[in-house]
Amino acid sequence: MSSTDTSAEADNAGAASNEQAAAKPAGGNQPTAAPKKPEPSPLMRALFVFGSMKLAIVLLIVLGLLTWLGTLAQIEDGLWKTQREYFESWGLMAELPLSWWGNPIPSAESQWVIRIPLPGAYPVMILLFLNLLVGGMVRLKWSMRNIGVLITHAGIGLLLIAGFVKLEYSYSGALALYESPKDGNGVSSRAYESSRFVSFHDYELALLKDNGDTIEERIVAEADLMRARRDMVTLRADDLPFTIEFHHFLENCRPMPKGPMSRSTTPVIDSKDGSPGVFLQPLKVQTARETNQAGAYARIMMDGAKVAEGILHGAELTPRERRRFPFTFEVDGQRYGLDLRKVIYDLPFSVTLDRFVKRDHPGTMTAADYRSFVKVLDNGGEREAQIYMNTPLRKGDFVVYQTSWGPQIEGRPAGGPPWYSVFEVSRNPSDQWPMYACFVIGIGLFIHMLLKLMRFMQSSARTTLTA
Amino acid sequence: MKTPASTFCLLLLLGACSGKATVEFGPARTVPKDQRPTEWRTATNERMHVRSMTPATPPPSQNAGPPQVTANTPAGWEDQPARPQSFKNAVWRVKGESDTTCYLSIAVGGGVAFNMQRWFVNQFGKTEVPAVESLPPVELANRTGRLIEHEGKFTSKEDWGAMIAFFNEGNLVTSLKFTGPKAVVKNNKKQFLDLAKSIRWASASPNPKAPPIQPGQKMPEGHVPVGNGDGNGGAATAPPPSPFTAKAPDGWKATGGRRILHHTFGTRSEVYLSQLGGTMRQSLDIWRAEIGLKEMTDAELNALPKMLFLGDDAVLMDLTGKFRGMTGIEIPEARLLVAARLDDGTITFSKLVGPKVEVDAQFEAFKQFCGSIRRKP
Repeated sequence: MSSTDTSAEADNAGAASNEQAAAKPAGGNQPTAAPKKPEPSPLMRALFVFGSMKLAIVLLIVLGLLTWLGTLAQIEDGLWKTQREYFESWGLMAELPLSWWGNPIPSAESQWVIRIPLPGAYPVMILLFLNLLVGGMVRLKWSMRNIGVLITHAGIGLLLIAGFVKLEYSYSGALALYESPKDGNGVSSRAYESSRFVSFHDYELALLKDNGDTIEERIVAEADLMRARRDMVTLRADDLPFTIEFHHFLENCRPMPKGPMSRSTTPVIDSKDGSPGVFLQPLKVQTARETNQAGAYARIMMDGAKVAEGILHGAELTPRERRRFPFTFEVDGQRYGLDLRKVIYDLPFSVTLDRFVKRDHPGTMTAADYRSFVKVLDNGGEREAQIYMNTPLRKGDFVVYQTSWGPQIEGRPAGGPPWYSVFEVSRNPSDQWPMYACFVIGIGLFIHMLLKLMRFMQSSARTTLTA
Repeated sequence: MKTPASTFCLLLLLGACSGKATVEFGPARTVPKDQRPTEWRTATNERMHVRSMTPATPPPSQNAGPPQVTANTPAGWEDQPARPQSFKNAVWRVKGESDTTCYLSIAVGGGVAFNMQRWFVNQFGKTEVPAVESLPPVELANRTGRLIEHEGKFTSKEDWGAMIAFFNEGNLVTSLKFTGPKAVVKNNKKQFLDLAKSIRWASASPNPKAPPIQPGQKMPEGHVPVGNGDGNGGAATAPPPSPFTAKAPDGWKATGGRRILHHTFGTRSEVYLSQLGGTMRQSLDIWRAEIGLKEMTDAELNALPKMLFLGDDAVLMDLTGKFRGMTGIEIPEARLLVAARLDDGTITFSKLVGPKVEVDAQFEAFKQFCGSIRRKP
């Protein structure tokens, strides 16, 4: 941390004395006034503030507070929401429910809650980084004596930068594959090979144009669709002969057949030809965001007239059903599809699951170890790899982790259904940076301890000689 | 008059906050077709995996119109106009109690699990749906069904009462539903049960006042089978249309019974498809009992092989021994094959039973038959 080491503080005498001089009131009992030091410039003042140890301590306390309150909030709000509110935002109103030894105050029905305005962890960590940079590297005297502390500060800075890069530039999702059938006779709907993975949380709307052997795809991000929760959003492109009126966007819903007793607050689609039709039933938005299934309605408009109308539902892409079922329509003889789906990320390689192996703790059905034997194919050829806990597959910027498997009910005895294995795929440019940062910090601390030891030994030797 | 700048800004903000917004699609990119496996031109209910709630289409012999329902209207009750288009094939209410209604819905799709979910969660506001087998039995239209009794909240009404008698034929559920103020419903339970017992229906008859057809009643030559003599009661209902399709192997003969995809071959072997509530283990144990076997262990359950059925994996139970069916049929040296899978709380199964020699010869055919079974959209 910034200037946590006392000797480093002492070594930083020049800057510290400047600070003290600036803080000392003018005048005093000195009979002969020493030449008055010039007032520090605003830039220097800012540097003093940013580099002060007090600020570092305040920031660390705020980070601790955010971690504690965020952990409490996670109980009710789930991981995704808490992470967004507490750790990725610029500010928030944190809530602390009052209790005494686990008993709500004054009662469980009307528990008092203290609301505390706090900065989010995001700006706090930016400030901490600046504090570290200014206090630890600008204000600190650059000398061989301080080389260890400087290296350590650089390592901590790298750690914070890695966090920033991960937050801003990384993405992740799930990839699930069935074991490849040995005899080659698979079920067509199952995913045995994949070169894509799917976001855990975020949706997108894809307009698909069927070009025969290829599909032309255009995307609208979920953030641009959110307004359709209340209003109509018109989607367009210059080279499209139609526009799409996107409305009734629901963050969590389920398609329901219109029955005699099912009331719908949303439009009913395909209720012609004697069929009662289908509608989207809104559901409570779950805090575990990955469990929500979004839905919406789309109306295809051409020259002011409706061409088609349909329901979109973001049903999960599972290994059991690899196909998508978009709402399809034709305009001028060209076939289009609209698919509301979890964001699909394409991989520059494909993965097949040769074999999945699970070993249980003796006498239980709890997995002691499970691992996937995969084949990775790209233009460079094919290679085999094992993926298991703490041993991911790394390829390019992508990391593939083993996370789960299925079917988890009814197990898989001999002759049973094939396993499917679930991976988390992450693209994080700063994936290995924390490890490098730890090396740097370790080296810095080692050098610093070594120098201290040497100084101590020299000083001991001098004392002995003097005596 | 000079408009203040703040007013102008406020109007701009308000304009931005409501009405339509236009969003541009991102740039087009081309991906190989196999990277986006897409099913085009699929019906809405099929692509949403939603089962159709369309009332069962009557078989060709009964295209004359909706079923004609006959029943003994209980004393103190009155008939109301039927509304078949709203799945109300017959409607009654308690005289002088305009808040009460009792209606019969014949063969509505969705299955038991879906309808139970609708009744208990959507209408009664419960968080859990009980197992079907935990409900008391009730006689409805000469069939044994289950009875649901509820008091309390019903949709948006408080202190309400509801009684639902229902049975299913595969995915099709027939129900008699009585709702109204709690006290009125409670006081009319006997009338409701009597009404349920007395209900019969048939296709449009030249004589709507004709008495209901009784089980086992002799029918004119060429008439569609009624009752089928299978011990299933058999009111004057025609077999419901099958919600499934399959390719039957050569040599199997389709029968016109009430069962779905019902085929026979050989001397006494028969195959059919049906659906049940409850757990897989309970159902499997019932079939094991037909061969005289005890309940299965966890290891036995886990060791059951899987096979393709309804387009995906299903449990295959293969038993040999003396078969004694619930209808009294006995086969000394029998082989029983059941392919079953659990979907949304409903067990769908295909069951083949017959003399071991005959079944041995048709084992592969049974697997192919099960593999070909699909739900109709």
